[in-house]
Amino acid sequence: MTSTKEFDVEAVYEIRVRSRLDARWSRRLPDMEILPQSNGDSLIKGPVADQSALYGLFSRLRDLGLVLVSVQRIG
Amino acid sequence: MHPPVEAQEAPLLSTKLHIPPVGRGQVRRPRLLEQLDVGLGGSKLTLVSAPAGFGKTTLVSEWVHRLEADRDAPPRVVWLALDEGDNDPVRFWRYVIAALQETGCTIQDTLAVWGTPSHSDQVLLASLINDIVAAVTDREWMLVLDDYHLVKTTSIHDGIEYLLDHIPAALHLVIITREDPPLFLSRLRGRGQLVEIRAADLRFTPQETTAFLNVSMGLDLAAQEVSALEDRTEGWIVGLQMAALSLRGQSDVDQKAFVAAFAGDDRYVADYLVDEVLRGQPSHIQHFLVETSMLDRLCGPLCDAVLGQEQDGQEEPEQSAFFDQRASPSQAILEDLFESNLFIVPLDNRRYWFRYHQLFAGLLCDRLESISPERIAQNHRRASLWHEKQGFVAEAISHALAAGMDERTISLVERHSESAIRRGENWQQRQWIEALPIETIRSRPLLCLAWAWALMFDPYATEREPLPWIERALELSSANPRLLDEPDGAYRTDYELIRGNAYAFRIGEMRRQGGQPQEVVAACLEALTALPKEAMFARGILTLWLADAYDQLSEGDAAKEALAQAAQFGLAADGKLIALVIAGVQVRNAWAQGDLHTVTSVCRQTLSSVVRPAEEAGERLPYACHFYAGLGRTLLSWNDLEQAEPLLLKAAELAQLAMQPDVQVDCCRDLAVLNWVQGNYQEAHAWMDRAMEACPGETDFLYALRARIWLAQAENDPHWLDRAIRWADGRVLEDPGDYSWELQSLVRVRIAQYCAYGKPDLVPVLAVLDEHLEVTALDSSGWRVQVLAIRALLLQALGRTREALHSLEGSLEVAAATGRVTVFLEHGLPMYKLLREAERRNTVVDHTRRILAAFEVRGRAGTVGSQLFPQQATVRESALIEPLSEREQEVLRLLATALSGPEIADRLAISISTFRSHTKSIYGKLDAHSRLDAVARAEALHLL
Repeated sequence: MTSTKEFDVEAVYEIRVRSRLDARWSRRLPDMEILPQSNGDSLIKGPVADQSALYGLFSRLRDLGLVLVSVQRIG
Repeated sequence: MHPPVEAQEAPLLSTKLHIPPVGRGQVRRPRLLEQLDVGLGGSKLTLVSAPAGFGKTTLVSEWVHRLEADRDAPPRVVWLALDEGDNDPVRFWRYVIAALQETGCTIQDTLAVWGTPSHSDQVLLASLINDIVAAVTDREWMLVLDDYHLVKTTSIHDGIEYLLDHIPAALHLVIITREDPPLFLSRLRGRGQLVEIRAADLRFTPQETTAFLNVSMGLDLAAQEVSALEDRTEGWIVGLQMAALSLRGQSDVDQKAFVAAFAGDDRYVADYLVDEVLRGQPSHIQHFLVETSMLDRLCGPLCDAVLGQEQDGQEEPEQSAFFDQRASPSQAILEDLFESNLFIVPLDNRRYWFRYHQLFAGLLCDRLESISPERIAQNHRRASLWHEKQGFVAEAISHALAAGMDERTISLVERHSESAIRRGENWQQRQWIEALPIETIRSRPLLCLAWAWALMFDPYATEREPLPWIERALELSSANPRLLDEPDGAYRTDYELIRGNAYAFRIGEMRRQGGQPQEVVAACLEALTALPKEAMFARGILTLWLADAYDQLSEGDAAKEALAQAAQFGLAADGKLIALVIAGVQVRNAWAQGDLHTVTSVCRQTLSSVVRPAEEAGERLPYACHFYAGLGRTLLSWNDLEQAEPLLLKAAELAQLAMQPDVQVDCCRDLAVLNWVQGNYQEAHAWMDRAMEACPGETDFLYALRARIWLAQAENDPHWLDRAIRWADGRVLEDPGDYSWELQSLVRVRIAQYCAYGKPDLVPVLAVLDEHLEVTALDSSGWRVQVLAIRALLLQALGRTREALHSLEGSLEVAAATGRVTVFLEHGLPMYKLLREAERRNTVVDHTRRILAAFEVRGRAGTVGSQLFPQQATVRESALIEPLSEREQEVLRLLATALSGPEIADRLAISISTFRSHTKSIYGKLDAHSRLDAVARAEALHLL
């Protein structure tokens, strides 16, 4: 039986986007690390409070015109 | 006390409704336009769904303009640019309606009447949407909702789905969004009712890229440069636009270098390009763009204010006839930006309001944050001050909140939240207060009060305890009463205002918790003595509750007086709605007591003093349905059918708008009766059909009325009787304590059945009826008249004539006191016979005669049957000495209809005085002393 309560606590997520994000993104997303990838993608990695925060983050990335490739929950 | 909503909202409303103009040098995209055209023909919804910067709005606005230019009868386009504030369903649909009205659609904003937010629920919204569906029938319409992704409220999505389900062919919906909306898209797709334009479609093809760069933007790039740009941006329109802007005015060599650098860089396109675009602008423009990027809407004076360059003596252009562009330096810059295609879009025809392309603005804002974040707060503060001075409250508050929490922000919210509640924009007010820290709310009495009201009225509120907040407000303000800024005449300090409101809350709570009426009376009386004389609104509400409590204590007179007083307060408070509500209660009570005279007088007074003036001013008050209905029903019961009919028709129409299905059902039923007693059986059944449609719950009781219509029809055609019997056999005689129609109809059918077939045994039926009668002894006269009349018929059927007449006498006595006539007409021939017998014995003779005359007039349509007239004819046949002239015969024929005197004169194209002399002559010849009498006599003599 899977639990959803465990998603109510903060966890580290890795979001892959199809653009190289430069230094200003660290300022836009203060809690997150920006990790450029060899194929031109970037990973946005860092703590996200819960599901609502995650969807909020997606919304922001959307409004800034980024292309979402994948989302992974690390731990 | 508060500025009217419309004055505040109107200037910005038009910017939300403005169709974006045709851009400069745009690339024609025929394949997409064709797709859109196809959609307009066959599908319900056109969805343009793609991320930011794909040119969605541009495409749709270009399409709209082309339709206007190319077609003979283009659809009327209603454009609504959504923003986050539109998440309040009330506000959303009001804007849709306002948008339709602006575009010339005739549709009422019924929400304007209600205001009170407790009505923001699905049924009301459904009725609004039905209004929209009904209003857009005269021609083709298109409703465009731009930025739909900002809508997050389920209720609005539900409403849109409902609209799509009921959408007429003449209305087409277009949704522009960054994410697929949660509407039943797969269903629409499956049925071919959806046209979609998505990112893949919107990207520029290589040909389009070439056309854009070299033709529209006037660059002269070589094929491989175009190709490089196309690759890098992947046809992303905003990217290409930014690239083009950066390339403009550069030499060939520089252009090549730019393209090479750009192609070689792998940074996020938008980041790279916005830097380039800015770099290519003069520094004062850079400064301008960055500093004003946090504004949703820009105009010259606002930008001046934000930049700290406020000019003196700038008048609001709405007031001045000419707006001097030179007076505002920022206005000039805005125009330039638009000319240069720098991502700025005008929001009106005067080129006063503009906005930035969202993505561009977002990137710019970002810039500002990296340069100096504290300037953002400062700019918001300046923007807030400017908006406040212009009277744009909502914008002033949202900028203030963005600027940060300070005294000014808090007092702005404080001052304006009350009017937001009154307008029914509860969501907005709640958002504002929720943005404040809780300790702030708790420490300020007026905020506590506003929050309490928000909780009271917010249908989505999870915590519904306003009382603790009121208590707190009282506590705080009594310790430190403050003079009110805008005393409304009733209250001087905030303490008095809160105390006045507190009574309403406390007593409201008491009632909700099922408080004893005596307690409510005591509390109301105490409150009324404590409240200032001028607090009309509060007094009105409290007196209304007082009346209700007296009613529960069965102190009828006290209740009536309190109600009348409440009505006065309501009128004085200039609260139309509350005056109507109170009058409505009066009417209902009077009707229940059978006090028809009070019903008519209250209805007439309300209609003439409140409703008609409003209607003449162009306002429609759906709540007025109660008064049209009350008056109509009374006139119906008095057999004044000609006057009753238009009133009932109007009432039915308004009841539908006012979302009062009970009233609607009642009116349809009354109209059924109205037609039934005139023998228009088909019409009567049609009205019953409508009643059933409108009825939200059980419709069984309506079948009971149908059965009675069948009985009336049975007088001419016996198979209807069997129909009625079949209905009756399906029912069980109700518990006598129940005042249902069903009991009366059942008994009535059994009586008819017995007379025709000799069974069932009526004696037990009589017993049930008698038991029922005992219970109705205490109740309204209306029921009593009906039940005694039916009882009389029952006894007559059993051959117990003396008892029958005795029962009828009882009925007639009560009927005479209230003027009721129609109730007897419903029973047809058997009742007529019984009444003739009663007349012979001089029982309640005046009223009896009146009823008989009514029968005789209606008799021509066959209700009472042809068995009637042979009797009469033999008695009075010889009376006509002088024959009627041809003209007089014409007049006579029309006298027998429902037309009034003036209408008859009109019809015959004669003057009123000529008409009168004709009727005088007719009466003389027929030995008649009234119109009714003349018609009856004419019938008897077979003159008609």
